[in-house]
Amino acid sequence: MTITRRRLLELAIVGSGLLAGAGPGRSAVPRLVVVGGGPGGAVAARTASRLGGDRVHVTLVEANPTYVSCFFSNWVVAGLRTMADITHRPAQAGEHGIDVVTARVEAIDREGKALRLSDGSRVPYDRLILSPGVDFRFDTVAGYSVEAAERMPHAWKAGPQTELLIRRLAALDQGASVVMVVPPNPYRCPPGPYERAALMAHVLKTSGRGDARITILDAKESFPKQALFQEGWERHYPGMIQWLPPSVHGGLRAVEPAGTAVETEFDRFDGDLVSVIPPQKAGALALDAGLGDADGWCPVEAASMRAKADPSIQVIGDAARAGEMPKSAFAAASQGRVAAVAALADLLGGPRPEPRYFNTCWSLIAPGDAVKVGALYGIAEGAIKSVQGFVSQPGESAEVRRVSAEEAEAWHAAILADMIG
Amino acid sequence: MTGHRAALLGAAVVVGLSAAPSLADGSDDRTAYLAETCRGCHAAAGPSAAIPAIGRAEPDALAATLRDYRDGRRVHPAMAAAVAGLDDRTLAALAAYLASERPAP
Repeated sequence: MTITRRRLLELAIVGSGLLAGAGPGRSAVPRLVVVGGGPGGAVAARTASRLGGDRVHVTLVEANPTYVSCFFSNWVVAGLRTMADITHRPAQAGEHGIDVVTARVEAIDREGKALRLSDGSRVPYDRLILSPGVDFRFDTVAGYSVEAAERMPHAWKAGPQTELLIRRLAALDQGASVVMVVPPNPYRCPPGPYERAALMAHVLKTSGRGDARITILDAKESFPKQALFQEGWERHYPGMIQWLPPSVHGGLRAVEPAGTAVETEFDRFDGDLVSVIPPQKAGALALDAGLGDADGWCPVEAASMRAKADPSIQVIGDAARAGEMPKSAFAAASQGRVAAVAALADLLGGPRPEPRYFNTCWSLIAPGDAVKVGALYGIAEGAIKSVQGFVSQPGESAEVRRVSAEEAEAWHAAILADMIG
Repeated sequence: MTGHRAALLGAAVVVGLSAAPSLADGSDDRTAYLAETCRGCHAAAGPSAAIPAIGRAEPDALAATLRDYRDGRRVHPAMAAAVAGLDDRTLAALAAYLASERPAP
């Protein structure tokens, strides 16, 4: 943060304080600071700014000048979208009354209620909303590492990894073997690996490589929308995708660091392309601040997303332990709305509407063919629980599946509009 | 929040309430929050798509549509879940609030 920027911030605080009628002797307008420009953080900041108006000063801190969304990155792998379509500028939120700071947060001073940024400056907060996303547990997969990911792309954080996967996919010959390693729960985007398998098969099949094989080595005995995916795989890519649970492969033992094979307890799987999606945990920022549990996720109060470890901090999105909600962009945005409203209630007083969390995960199986699962969530016995859910059914007509694919595109436009539009 | 309160007064007329909701009972904040949740899927403005934009909806018709989704007269499982458990008065206030929002110029 530059001096100029800090001075602007001070002026903004003083200015908005006057507008809100804060008198002398009273502290200025409360400072709500949001860290993370993904769907959780961006929607939290936008919601707080819209509903709080001049009564709250909203700052959004994001390390990168551009944000590449994981959501819809499988559409890029499929060639249906470009990297530019999933690359966004969080700073655009600055056009909506939010002070956007592009800097890495080095540490959270919980005692002093301030962030320490990479440039040495401090950002004090009255309330902090953290949306740090996930980090990978590279060390839990023998043979895998940050370096090995250059040979066995995870592409589970979008950006260069996505482009690497696309290049590697393009370079495969006819009859190639692709091996995917899929992590145990919980992880970001539960149906994502199976959508990716479908869309990689789409790329291979439509480029004269329909004899390629994709083998999914799963850490789980079942997966979301399993019957729907398996039906869709067979409809579009018969014989191309093989899914193997641990009861069949025996469990992951190691990956070959050179990126050519995966060893399980029962077998060895050679791959011309090996993609490893590692097990995950909350983003380091939240864990370094002591907000995580023994499993590396952040427990929160169900009604407010307030961290159980610190009443001045809310944790939202993939990093949070949010009951029955999956780790999705939709869920993160929904939690961002709840967190913003709860923060305003805490900072400004007044009533606190009962949360209505919501999620929908659309999965594309082929262009114009999608399935979905979703639910309304409420609070029961202190936890976030599904109230009313819905899921696509096997055997749905092509028309129904086409409409689901169009819904996915409409949702994508809507969440971008809510984040940065 | 003045505009929102006006919208709520409008909603009260729509459903024939004798007393308008007030800020004190929290209805205003609840309606504003519920309207935000719609953004999870619906753009405020834009071309008609598989998920329609709702920025220019007419309040009476929108409230009726929301009741139809809730009560199963119109079938869309996601919309049914989205409005599950919301009473007529809440839906009327929500529809009025949404109709009062205008796309940014």
